[in-house]
Amino acid sequence: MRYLILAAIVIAGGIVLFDSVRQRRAVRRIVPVQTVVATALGRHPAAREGPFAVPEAGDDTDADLWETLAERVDPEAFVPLLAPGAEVKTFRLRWGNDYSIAARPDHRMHFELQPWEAELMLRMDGSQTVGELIVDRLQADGDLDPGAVIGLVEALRQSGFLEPARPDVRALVQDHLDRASKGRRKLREFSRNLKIGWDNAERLVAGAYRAGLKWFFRTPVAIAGGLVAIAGFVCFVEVERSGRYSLSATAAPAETILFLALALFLTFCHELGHALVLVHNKRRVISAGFFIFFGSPAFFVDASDGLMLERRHRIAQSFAGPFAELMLAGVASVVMIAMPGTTVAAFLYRFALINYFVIFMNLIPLLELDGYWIFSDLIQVPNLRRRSLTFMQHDLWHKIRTVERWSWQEGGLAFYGIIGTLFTIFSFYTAFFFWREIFGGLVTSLWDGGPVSRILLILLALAFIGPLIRGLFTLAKTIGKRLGEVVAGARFRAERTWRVEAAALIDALPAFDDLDEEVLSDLAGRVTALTVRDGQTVFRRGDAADAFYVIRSGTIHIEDVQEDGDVVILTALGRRDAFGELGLLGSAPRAATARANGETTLFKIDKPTFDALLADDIDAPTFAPTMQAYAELRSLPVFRSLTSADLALILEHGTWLTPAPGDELITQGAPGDAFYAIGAGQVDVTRDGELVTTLGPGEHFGEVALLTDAPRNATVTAHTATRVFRLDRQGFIDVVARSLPRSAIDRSPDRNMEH
Amino acid sequence: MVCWHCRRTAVGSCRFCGRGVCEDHVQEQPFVLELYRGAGTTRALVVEDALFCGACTPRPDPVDLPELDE
Repeated sequence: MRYLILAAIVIAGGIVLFDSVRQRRAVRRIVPVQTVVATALGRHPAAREGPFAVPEAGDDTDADLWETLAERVDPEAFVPLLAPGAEVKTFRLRWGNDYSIAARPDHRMHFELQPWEAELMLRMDGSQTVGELIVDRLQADGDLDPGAVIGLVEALRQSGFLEPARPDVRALVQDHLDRASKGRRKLREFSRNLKIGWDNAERLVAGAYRAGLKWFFRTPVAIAGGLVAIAGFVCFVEVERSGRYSLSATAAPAETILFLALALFLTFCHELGHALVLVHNKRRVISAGFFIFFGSPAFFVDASDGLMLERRHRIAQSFAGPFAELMLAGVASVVMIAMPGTTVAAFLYRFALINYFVIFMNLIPLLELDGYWIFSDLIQVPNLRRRSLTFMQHDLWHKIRTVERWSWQEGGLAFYGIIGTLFTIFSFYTAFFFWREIFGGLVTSLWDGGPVSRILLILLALAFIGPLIRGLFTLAKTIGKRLGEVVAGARFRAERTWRVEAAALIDALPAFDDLDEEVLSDLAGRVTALTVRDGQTVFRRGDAADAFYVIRSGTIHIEDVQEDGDVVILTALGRRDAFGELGLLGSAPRAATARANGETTLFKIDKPTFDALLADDIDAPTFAPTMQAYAELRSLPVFRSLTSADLALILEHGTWLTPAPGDELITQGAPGDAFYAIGAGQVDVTRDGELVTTLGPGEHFGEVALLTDAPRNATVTAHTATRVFRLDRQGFIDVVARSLPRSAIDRSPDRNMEH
Repeated sequence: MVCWHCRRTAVGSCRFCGRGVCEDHVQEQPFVLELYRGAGTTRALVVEDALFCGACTPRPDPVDLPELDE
């Protein structure tokens, strides 16, 4: 048997080697770079119909091509249309933590969305532009957040949810630059993560379902299966109590191989159970395959499409795997008790014991296995494990250190996280135990079989423990990083004196109200010190502004260059003075040059530090009037999600108005060109002389004007002394355009049934 | 030329937009250098590791411009 195993390993190695040689030959033969970019660039159905339709060139030969191109790539003008295979479903949960899933099973895509995103997605029917959808959301939720809407549209577009599907040239090029064959890629994937997938598994499952397994979805058959499982378990408990058999590590290699094959068959049935429920409920089996889970060989089914099932069906799908195993382990136990004292019975005992243990591990809701999904669906708290681990990682230590009061939810997350972590460690131990018990005989046999088999054993071990080695490297890197933090901490303590001085100087600046101790402490940790030589500039006029400075020692000249080229010193600043504060306003470049006069030491506070620690405490009129304008604008609910840079654009294109009672802001029938948000006071909305409604602080009107020149359909008059912010259309367009590069998101949930 | 991100001296410019990038902020991305028709299919000459600034957004999908058709 030993030689049989060695022969199998040699053949497998030969196949890999042959593939490698064949591949190298192929590489020499072909032109190095071959792609199907052409297919991408020329022959797609995107051309002349649907939302991307473009007018024919016609006789308008003077058309500005660059303008046309700008329109074509304008995210606001894009008209999203959901692809035929796209589905969206919203799940209402008991605790109000509703969520939605968008699915494109044929593209293996499942996104977890917020319910508002799902509602918006359903409106992507090819009739509205992105700009209109942004305004739709503004009307529905009162939140002008173009980044969120554009992010959603971009994510859907890139993932094939929208029509017409456009090829991702970048991905195609990268794919074709990878010269490995399909088989080689799979081998590479397996060597990296010990996981290998098969995309056509659904056909096998559907065939098995039609061939007879569909009967298990009939109540009488399901009950009979349940009875077999119960009877088998009772038999097993009876045998276990008698102590007749034991789990021995001295099994012969042949028995070990047979045992392994049976165990794999069992996990295959387990995964088949999951997959059958998907097929029964008309959902897709995305893929299936083989992998090593906690050291144990196993099969998996990618059951992501199960996310689209109703809750009770999801629970059934999660339970179907363990149920299949319970039935088979039950049959084994019944046979074992019917053949007492035989070798077969001893073998079946080991088989049943291991499988009941695996079922137990599966149903414990502490690893992301079936029991977890069942538990999560029962208590209606999705992402429980992720949330608890995030809490453990970021909040637990802070809570303990500051002796803060705990909420029930936080207590639950901490409890689940701690128990889950301990159980994970326990799982590693049991995986080791499993390997030792089941494969101990085989390993010993190969080790004792001479130098050749010993080398093969080492190679085999390296292949299987490759991910473990990589994990150790990652661990070493993490420890290194941690050590770096310790060193940085020591250095920080050594720098304590000047850091405290920096915090004190900032606190003494007239621009700030009294800063509290926590802010000062944090500030001291983030400020940096720099020395500028005589004549060296700190920044020049026109530079991007990204920080402000406080002088510790020396002198800084603020200079400007006159039209005739003469340099004029506008002011000279000394110790305790601050400069460069416009950098905190986000968009304005430096208006003058700052130059050291003699060696000068500065404390530098960058913009992120300012935003995080000082923005709320600044005395705006003293520091810069614009800060107050930002704060005032952000206090309006409609602008609450915007960044400082967005607000700068809004301020640039908008203005505050203070109409007196009776003043008309909008006149019915007049062309619309601006949007209004009310800061204080009330306005009356009248149509054809009839009062329609009265709007107050925080509300807004006139948003349709952000999209079209359509005549106003009502008159808006100040009811009281009012303060309103007026935003013109260009401001809206600029904010939308700014949002595009920030829109990359990752939403795909991962719910594989892996064992 | 200075780096778009940090204003330090740039060591190269983005192949897609021309922004300057320093060693710390430089990224790489495949770039389609040339396309040509050959043996019934279109082929691409690709620079595997063209400099990319990470600030511009080269579109992954083509844009129709039928205005350029004859």
